[in-house]
Amino acid sequence: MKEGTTADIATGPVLSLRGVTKHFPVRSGSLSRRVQAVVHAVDDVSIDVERGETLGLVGETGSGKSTLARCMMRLVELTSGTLMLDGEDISHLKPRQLRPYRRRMQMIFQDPYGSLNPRRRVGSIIGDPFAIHNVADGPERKRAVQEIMELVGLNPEHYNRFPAEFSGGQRQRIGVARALALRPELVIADEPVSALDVSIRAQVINLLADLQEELKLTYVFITHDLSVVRHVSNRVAVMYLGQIVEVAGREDLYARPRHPYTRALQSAIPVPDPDEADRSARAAIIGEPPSPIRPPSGCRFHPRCPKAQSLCAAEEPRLEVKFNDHANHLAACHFPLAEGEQLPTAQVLGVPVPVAAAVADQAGAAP
Amino acid sequence: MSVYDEMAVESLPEAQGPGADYVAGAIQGRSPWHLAFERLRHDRVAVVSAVVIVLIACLAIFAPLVATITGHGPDTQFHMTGLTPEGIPVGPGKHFLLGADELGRDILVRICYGARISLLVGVVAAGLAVAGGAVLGMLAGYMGRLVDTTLARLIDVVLAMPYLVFAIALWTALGGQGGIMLDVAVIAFFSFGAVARVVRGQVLSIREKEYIEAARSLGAGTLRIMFVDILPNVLAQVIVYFTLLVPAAIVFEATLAFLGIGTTPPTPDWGSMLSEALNYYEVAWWYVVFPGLALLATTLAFNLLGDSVRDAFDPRYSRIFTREK
Repeated sequence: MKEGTTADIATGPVLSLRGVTKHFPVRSGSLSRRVQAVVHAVDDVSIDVERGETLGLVGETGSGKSTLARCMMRLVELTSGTLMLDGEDISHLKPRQLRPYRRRMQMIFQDPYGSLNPRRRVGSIIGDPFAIHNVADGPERKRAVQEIMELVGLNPEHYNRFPAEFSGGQRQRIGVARALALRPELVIADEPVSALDVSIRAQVINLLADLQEELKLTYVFITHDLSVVRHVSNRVAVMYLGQIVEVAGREDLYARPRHPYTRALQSAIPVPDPDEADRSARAAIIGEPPSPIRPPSGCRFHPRCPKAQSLCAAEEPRLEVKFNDHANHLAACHFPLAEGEQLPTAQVLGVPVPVAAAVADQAGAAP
Repeated sequence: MSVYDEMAVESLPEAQGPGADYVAGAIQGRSPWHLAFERLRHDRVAVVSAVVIVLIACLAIFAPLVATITGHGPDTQFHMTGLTPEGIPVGPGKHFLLGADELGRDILVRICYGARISLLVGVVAAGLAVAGGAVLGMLAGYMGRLVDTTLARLIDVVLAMPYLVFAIALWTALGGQGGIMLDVAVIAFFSFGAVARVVRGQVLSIREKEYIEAARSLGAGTLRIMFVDILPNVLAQVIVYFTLLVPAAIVFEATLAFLGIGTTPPTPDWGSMLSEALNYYEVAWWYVVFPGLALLATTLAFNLLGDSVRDAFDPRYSRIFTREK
């Protein structure tokens, strides 16, 4: 890291995304490989990750959360847009030029079974970052690895074991150790606890929280579990079909959701006591998310939105401050929810039929 | 996972073996290699095959010793003792344990010297084919796109070539030069394609694993990912292929020698011995039987060992343990 610039970058955001877009071409034909269609995995996402915060990224399966994480890590090439780490544009660097920046941002992966090479010993897996960046060698590397193993709550004597000899939670600790080995500023955690038993999720989440405090880390925490994100994040961004539809401080978002999709997600959080759970109060969001190959016009949520009007299909809403919200509470909606406004529930609507597309969905599902 | 469950069960009853430190509480990391070796050790077919291979290797290494003991050099012709007055080779007996050939040479000594060529060509050619095939397969599988297409077509071309015609043409073009180096080159060239295909297929699935992505996110380069992260995962397959390619290469070499390619006449070689024996098998059955048996035993042992190695690396073959009891 360049020492001279640390002072002025310390104030700005760690990572800035401006118009980040990732489209995956769908090719067919063995010879011509003609591009048949494009999957809009991430579309025009702009957001800043502030120093020291935990930014939660939520959304349902296929909303582009993981692709966005891979864009942030430059594991996939951006289709367009810029990515700035500590104010430096890293969106077009070649792999070799990118290497020094990789020390500053690291990733924790979702699957603790798939993310550790089964044929390599734990010591060599955690030693990888040191080897790749030529930081420490021989006994020095071993000491560094054992130090980090201890930091994440692993027994340093297990240095010579294979990943298969550990439990899921321990494996995830190995993944955390590998990510933190070079003391990065930014850690992108892609569903770090989704694959774990509920009983050990808390352990790993608490470990991440402790490490954040100790090492002054900034987290991007991706999950589809709203109760987890509420527990860990300072700020939450909600994604739908490759776009961010709402960003706000945690309390703000949970108290005053502006986007109907956010409200619907919240109403889907399971309540521990079944007697208290009022099923009819669940917001009426029906159907599946549309195909990202042909996203809906205008607001992408409009075919499923109970508040949709003709404007929603015609014009794409901008991500901006609604009503007299705090300056960092942004929502992309033409008809944001007012304070305390509830979405029409399934009960009120009877048969939930907000728009024509949904009718088609229903007809398809009916026997 | 099941591999480890298996080992735990297996190590409990034998307290003296590798299970001893288990009881002591210090659990040693068992590598997949260790596990495969344990399975192999308990596989009777594998052990017998390995013993046969070691015996043949000993014969090859100590061929000069055999020559000294019998008093028969590999190329020395014994017209007085090796041939009957009518000029017919003598059969197996006191002087010639496995009989003599049409020039009165000791077949046992020649088989021992022939084993040197067979094993050398087999191991070196299979090694080259496996090394080249593994590297090209990894390149094709990991780089994908143009590299993959180019290599795949190249392999198709190689596999479509009539290798015997090619070998004969090359032998002729070189004017009969090259010896066993030519054998090795031809065999390796026509064998790497199959290895490359297998490795490529494996790599296609491995490169999508999250640990490869993890390596990339750490900044690992292509070479490091190929040799540090991917290679250990295909090595088992490659080793299996090697043990199966060795007998194929030995037979290939014998075929070439049978046709008079590679080794030249006075050199003892199983293939050329068989080729000459064809003219005499009516009067000297031992001349065709013993070199043939040597070839059969060697290739069979390698093939059976190869099968066992493959099973040993496959965690689904846990039956080996039950079979033992």
